[in-house]
Parts: sequence; structure tokens; C-alpha cells
Amino acid sequence: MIRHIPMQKLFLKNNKGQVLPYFIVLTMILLISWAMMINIAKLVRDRMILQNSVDNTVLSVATLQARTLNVLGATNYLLATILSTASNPKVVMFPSLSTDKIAGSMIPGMFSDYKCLGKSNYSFTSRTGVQNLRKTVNAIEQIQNSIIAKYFTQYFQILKDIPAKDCSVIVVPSRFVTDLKNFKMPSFSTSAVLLGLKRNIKGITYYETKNYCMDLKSKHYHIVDSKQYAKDKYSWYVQTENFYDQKFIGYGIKLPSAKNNKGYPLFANLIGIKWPAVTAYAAAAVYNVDGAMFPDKESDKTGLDNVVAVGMLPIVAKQLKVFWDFTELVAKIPIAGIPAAAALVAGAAYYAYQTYNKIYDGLTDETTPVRLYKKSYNGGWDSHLVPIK
Amino acid sequence: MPFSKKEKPVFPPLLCRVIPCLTRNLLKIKIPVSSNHPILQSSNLSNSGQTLIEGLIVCMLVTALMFGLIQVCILVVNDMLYNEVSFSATRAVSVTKEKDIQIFSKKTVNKLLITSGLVSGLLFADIEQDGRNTDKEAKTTNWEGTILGENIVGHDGTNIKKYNVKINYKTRLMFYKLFGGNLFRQQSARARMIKSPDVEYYDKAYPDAKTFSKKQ
Repeated sequence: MIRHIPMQKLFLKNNKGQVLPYFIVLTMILLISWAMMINIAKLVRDRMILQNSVDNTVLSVATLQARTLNVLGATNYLLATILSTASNPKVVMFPSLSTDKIAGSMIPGMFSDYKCLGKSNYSFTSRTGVQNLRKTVNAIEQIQNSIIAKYFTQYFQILKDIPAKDCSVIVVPSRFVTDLKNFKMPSFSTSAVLLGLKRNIKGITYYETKNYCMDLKSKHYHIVDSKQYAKDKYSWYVQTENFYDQKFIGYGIKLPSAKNNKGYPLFANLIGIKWPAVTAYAAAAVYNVDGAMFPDKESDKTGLDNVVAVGMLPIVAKQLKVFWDFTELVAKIPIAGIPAAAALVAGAAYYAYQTYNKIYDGLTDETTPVRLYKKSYNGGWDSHLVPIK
Repeated sequence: MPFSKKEKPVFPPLLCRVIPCLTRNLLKIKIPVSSNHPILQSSNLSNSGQTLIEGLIVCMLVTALMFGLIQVCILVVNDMLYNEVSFSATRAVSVTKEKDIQIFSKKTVNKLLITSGLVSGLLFADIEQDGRNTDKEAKTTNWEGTILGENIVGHDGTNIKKYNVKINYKTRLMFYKLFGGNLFRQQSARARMIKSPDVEYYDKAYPDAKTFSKKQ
């Protein structure tokens, strides 16, 4: 006789927990789905945050570059404009417009060495004006150096502050990326290279002015000469050979070991996945729709602003009067007077012609720092995101 | 205490087995139904299989709940991924030199969708693009209107443009027939960005400059 044993007694003691295995399986599926959802959400969120971080950082660096170039362009213009007021004293006061010879200003004021003490038959050397001019130029150069130092520190401050937490972003000027072999990390003093700029090594030669005064036949005559006083090695900023490449490449990474990734991915061991490093790229560039603003070659030419040109006219007129007074004086000398007067008239014409040419060149030469700034300051340097390739 | 034979049944026979179980376990209410009930006796029903039916109903409810939650997961994940694609596409649109933004954005969206695995058929095979390769696939619009109530103009005097990439897509729903609903749920993802007004300076710094990529 076969003894009937209930199935219930054979396997289980009672009915409890029959749904439990099913419930556990479904719960596992649900939990893995949730974990996947949270993992994907975090990855997507991380990538978006990182992309925004790289965009923001690279654009911030480009904006810093644009602002620095604008300020440096303005100070370059100021420096060159002050130098453009300088004279080239050769009997009379010629406008210099060249850093090869910088004497006291053609415009009366604190930079001028064209001084007459009203004494008869008296000569004296004046260097107060050119000293003031040199001090001002050096002060502007110092301001430029401090602007670049600020740029250098701000550059790294941006890399530190702008990226989101746990995101590391580096931004490199594209000109260094394309020419890594020749890349040297600029020092604090040579950080203008980051901007694509360098100092003009043509230098500035300063001259003091010798004033000769004489009274002849109740008229006062004033002629000038010059003597080298000092020489400085550098002047304004000019472009380096790869200044045209004003693009920045930004690269960002969020490592799996980042603090914020602790505990992720959820159920890593169960699902068998590893958290990847999230990366993002971006590029930004600096541009000026009106021109480069900085000279592309090292040159001694300052260029000339219209206002400065107008400011020079009184002293140019004064020099012509000197010629006229001398002509009047020598014309009265018998026999030799007429040819001497004619020579003086020719000299006056030569002076007028030379001065006109200088001023005209200064106003029209578009390679000088003054004219380049005047041409491009309306557009100004600006920044925008650009394609990476 | 057994019921009297005169009492009428309150619930149909099957529910007589289920409801007391549910109410006892879930609501802690005891409804007195026993095997002496006239209906149960007359239909020769016994206690056997009671657990099976209880289990079946609980399983059905739990399954529905689980799949519902999984469906929500899928919808949310799709939403996130498509939003990411639209974000990336908008970013690409905002730095492109292409003149036909519509075509460029569609191409970019398609490329990104494939790289994201959304239309590759591998990761989420149950997603369909709305009218693939048609205009409805990824709609990109650009406005030349105001930004935050202001007319912002670029160097050339034209208004700065906002670009909007919108992706319309459909997610296939599970068990849609049970509910008599639609097979797909219409969803959309979008992102907006402002484009630089000076597109011609994407690869050079000033009018007469060499392009960025050109080496000395």
C-alpha cells in the first residue's frame, strides 16, 4: 500500500513564502533597471556638466585674452602717441615720428624741451621734457607688464575656478598645440608669448635739446640742436610670427576616481561594469573684425594721431617764422644777402616739405601702432566659441 | 463561528476566497467566510488551491507594478539621452559655418543618435524616430527675435540669433494593448543656444589673417 504524502509536507512545511522567489526576481530586475537609469542619468549629467565646464573655461580664457589685447592695444596706442609728439631738433624742430630719435615734444607742455629763457646770446640744454616723456613711456610699459602679469595669473585662476567640481580642464593656445616641438612654457616675465605678442626690440633713443637764443637787431632768434641722452631697449608690443592663431583648445576630463563618483556605478559588481572617464573638448577664439591692432613687424615708426598732428601745427608755424625772420635779416646784407635769403627760403620750403611728408606718412601709414589702433579699436577684440577642427 | 444557512453570500465564490486573504493581510480586517458557507458547500469547493489563486493575483499585481516602474525607467532614460543628443546638436549648430542649419542639424542629430545607440537597434531597440529621414525627424528652428526682451546686435548690425534643436521621438510602450492605448508615446527633447554673430571669424582672427589651422 502506497502511503499518500501531501506535496506540501514533502517540500515545504507550509504555504508561506510561495510568492517570495518571484518577488525577489522581479525586485532584482527593477533594482537593476533603476540602477541603470541612475547610472545613465549620472553619466549624461556628468557629460553635460563637463561640456559646459569646458565651454565656459575656454570661452573665459578667450574673453580674458580679448580684454587683455584691448587694454594692451590701448596702452600701445598711448605709448606710441606720446612718442609721436617727440621732435627731431636739427636747427629747427622737425617732427620725429620715429623711436630712433626722441627729443622733447613738438607740443608745448611738460614733455617739451623747446624752451626760450628770453636771454640774449644764450644757450642751454634742456632734458626735463624728454625725461618726463621717458618716465611716462616707462610707466606705460610697467602698466603693460602688470597687465600681462595679471593676465598670466588670471589664466590659471580661470582654469582653477571655472570648471565644475571634480572636473579638470586645461586650455592651451592652438599655436602651441600645432607646434609642440618648439613650445616652451613661458615664464612670468615672458608671458606675453601666450598672447602672441613680444616687445619691439628697435628700442627708443632719447635726446636732449640744445637751445640757442640770440637777439639781433631787436629781434629774438631761436635755433636748436640735439644730443643723445639715453637709450631704452624696448618699446611697444608687436605681433609674434604666429599671432594670427588666436584660437584656444580646451580639454576636460572627469576621472572615475573623482570624489563625486564615489559609489558609482550602482551595482557595478553585479552588472559587471566600470565607471568610464568622461571627456569633452571645446574651442574658442579671439577676433577683431576691424584689424590686428598690433604691428606685425618691429619698426621704429610711431604713426600719428590727427589730434597730435593738429597740436604740432603751432610749433611748425613758429619754425617757419624763424626761417622768415632769418630771411629778412640776411636779405639786408649787401651782395651775399639775396642768395643767402634764397637759400633760407629753400630751406624753409625743404622744412615745410619734410614736415608735411612726415605728418602725411604718420597719418596714412597703416603699419604703425597708432594707426593700427585707430583702425581697429571700434571693432575691438571679442571672443566666441568656434569649431574644434 | 459558522454562518447560518439563511445568510446570503456577500461576494461571489472566487472573491470569497481572495478578499478575506487580502483584507486579512493588507487591511487587517477579518471578514468571516468559512468553508461552511452554503455557496461553497453547494459548489463542492474546498480550501485547496487557495494559495495558488492568492499567489496568482499578487503576482499579477506585482508584475504590473514592476513593469510599470521599468516602463517609467525607460521613458526617463530615453528622455535623458535624447536631451543630451539635442544639447550636443545645438552646440554643434552654434559653432558651424554651414549655411543650411536645418540640414546640418538633422545630420548631426542622426550621427549623435547612432553614436548614442538610440537608433542602432542595440541599446534601445524599441525606440523609433518620428518619420526617420523626413523633416519631422529633428526640427531645428532659429529666431531672429529678441533675447530676454532686448535686441542684441552683432558687429554687422544684425540681430544675434538663437538656435533651437528639437527632436521629436516616440517610445514604444509595454503592454499597450491591455490598456487600449497607443503603441508609442510621443516625446520631445530640445535645447537652445546663441550663435556667434561673426561666423566668418570662426577660423581667422582678423580680416587679413591666415586661418587658424594654417601652419607657418
